[in-house]
Amino acid sequence: MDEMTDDENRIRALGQLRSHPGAEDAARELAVALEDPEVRAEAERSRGRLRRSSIGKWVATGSLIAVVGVGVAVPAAALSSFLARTGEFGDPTTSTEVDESEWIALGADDAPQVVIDAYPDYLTLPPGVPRDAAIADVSKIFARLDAEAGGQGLAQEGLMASTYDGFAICAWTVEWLTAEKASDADREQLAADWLSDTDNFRTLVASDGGGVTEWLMEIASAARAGDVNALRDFNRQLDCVERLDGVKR
Amino acid sequence: MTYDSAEIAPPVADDVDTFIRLICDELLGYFARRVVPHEDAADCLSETLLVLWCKRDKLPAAHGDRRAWSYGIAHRVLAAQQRNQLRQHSLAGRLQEQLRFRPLVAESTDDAAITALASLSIRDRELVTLVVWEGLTIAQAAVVLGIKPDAARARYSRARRTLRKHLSA
Repeated sequence: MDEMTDDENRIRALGQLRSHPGAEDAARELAVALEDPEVRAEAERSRGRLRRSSIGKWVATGSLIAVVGVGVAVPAAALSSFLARTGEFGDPTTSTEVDESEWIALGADDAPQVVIDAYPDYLTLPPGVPRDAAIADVSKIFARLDAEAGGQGLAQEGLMASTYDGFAICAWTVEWLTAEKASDADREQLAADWLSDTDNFRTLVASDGGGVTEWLMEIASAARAGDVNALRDFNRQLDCVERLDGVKR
Repeated sequence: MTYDSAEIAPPVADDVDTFIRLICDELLGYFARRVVPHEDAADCLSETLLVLWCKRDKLPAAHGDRRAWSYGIAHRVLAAQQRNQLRQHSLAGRLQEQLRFRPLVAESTDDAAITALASLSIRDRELVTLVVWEGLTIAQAAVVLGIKPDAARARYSRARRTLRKHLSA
């Protein structure tokens, strides 16, 4: 890089840190502690438990939105003339999830159309659940996430497709529960088969950084085994009732 | 202490634990500059080091690439912290205590510089601070942000012009 300009030097000065030996020692202590495989294994187990509890939220709401940076907020209006497609793509080497798709500026005027266009061609929904219900649900989720980010929300296009997958998983879970209640074995089997085939929610599986597919397969096994409680619990974790709100069954 | 990017020497650490010991101060600085409340930097650091260990097979060979790759992980951990999705690390307790009462970030009275930095878009701001605070090259910062080097250079030039406009006013 060239010599820093005076402007850059002033910005650089903002990032100067105080010397603090206590923090330095504690940071080093942390690094050394993690060199012990047993310490890491315990930390990983704890991490896995948290991950499991948050995966449901991810599948349900597409909460893996990137809102980068804090500080002075740029008014949402400043983004309104931007186009949704940023021309920037995800790099899996810097992410815990695997997603190379384009980053979408959710506050842009054309963002709602990008969300609609992200509907996966392969997606199959149970009888009585229209495509528009999925689009309405996913659009609502991304609009809310953008609002929460003060109009500066960014999300990868792959996440949108994954969120559609999540909606379909919800729809088929509800289909299974409805069939079970009605003692309709054929419908129940159809729903269990759908949940057991990862190709039906392939974007979600492809972007899985670990744990999601395994968890979904556990649910599919529970469906095949007729475990109503497991399916009800799954249904609650994914907020499926809310996501299918308005769908007449 | 090596928080100041200008003081960062590029030692080459072949083994993972040596590299992680070397990078941990830098990463703590990265989080200390960006995380509120200050003590949450401890959890961010702990999570980042854990991910570094988990993904150590993918650690690049060259030191500069290793730094950029590590900052990429830190960048994602920071995003998780801002979504309030970071777990509490019991391992980080002592560091949390240190940071709670003695924050590392120096206060500044350069209001014009603060305003100029805040005027950048969030992504341009992260690009600029990765370069001027963390001492990454623009190409390395591009890796962290998942964008192409040419795009990063164009963004950086634009950000420089914006800073100039604000600071010369």
